[in-house]
Amino acid sequence: MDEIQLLIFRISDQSFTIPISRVARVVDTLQSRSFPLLKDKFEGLFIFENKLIPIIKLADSLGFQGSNIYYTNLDESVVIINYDGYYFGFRVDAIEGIKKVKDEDIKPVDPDVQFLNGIDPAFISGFTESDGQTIFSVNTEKLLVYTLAN
Amino acid sequence: MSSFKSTPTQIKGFHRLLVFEVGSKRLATPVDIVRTIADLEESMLVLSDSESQDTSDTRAKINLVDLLSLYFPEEIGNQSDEKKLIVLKSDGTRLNGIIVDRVYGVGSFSDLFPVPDGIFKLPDGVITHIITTEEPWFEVVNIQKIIEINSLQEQRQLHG
Repeated sequence: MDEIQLLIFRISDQSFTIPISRVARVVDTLQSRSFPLLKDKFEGLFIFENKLIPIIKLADSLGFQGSNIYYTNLDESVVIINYDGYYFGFRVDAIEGIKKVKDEDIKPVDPDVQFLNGIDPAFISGFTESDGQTIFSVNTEKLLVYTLAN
Repeated sequence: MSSFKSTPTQIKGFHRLLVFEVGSKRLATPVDIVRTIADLEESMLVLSDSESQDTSDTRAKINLVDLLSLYFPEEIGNQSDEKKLIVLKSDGTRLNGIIVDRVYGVGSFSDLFPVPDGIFKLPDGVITHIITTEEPWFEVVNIQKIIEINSLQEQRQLHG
């Protein structure tokens, strides 16, 4: 059985995961630079390892409209993703840890469901359960494709 | 196989750029593409026959693009008489230029950061780099690309 390592993070009261193989770095709070002509789903840009990295408003994309995660939380972090050489980041409320799960422990999301605990399932590829809590897996590729296209 | 272009890295060294303003936006473009800069006088301009945004200098027949109306319609342009015409170098018979609100001058800037694809509301290739050595950061634009896009749009409109 193949195992996969996941980074667990929290936005508001909900936990999410992404494969740790996609994570380039987790950095403490940083202020991104806003540009009026950036697409609406981007919060801003910042420099990481000599590259200009766009920060995606993940909380907004997942349906946390009006979320107060920005600029208010001392525990917040920015997760930087390396998707086949294309770097982008998103802000999270807190990093909760790393977890190993078996492939079969990640269950698919019902394609007919419209909301998962109030979350838009468009960028959710599956979920795991831990201590009675549901943890959603974010599909970083879909998130990036959609954000760049809109 | 990923369809994403890898995020480009910083370009080291010094780059000579012409810095100008459109509305409240400070922008820059490589100075080596610029042929001349002139005051923009109302008397120079007559509206072309088409309904495009272009105007023509009746003496030099310069094809002009008004950056403000094209990309920054929400901005209020400079109402004073500081508007400038930036004419680009050309290999052919047709000269191209852009109208800007103010020209700051030419400067050397280090450490340009190339812009990854797909992040701006404008077509890819219009904003090429970000200058981070000055506050606030500002964008380097490819004026040739803007003129190319504008010409294509005009041709499409003309041919229905």
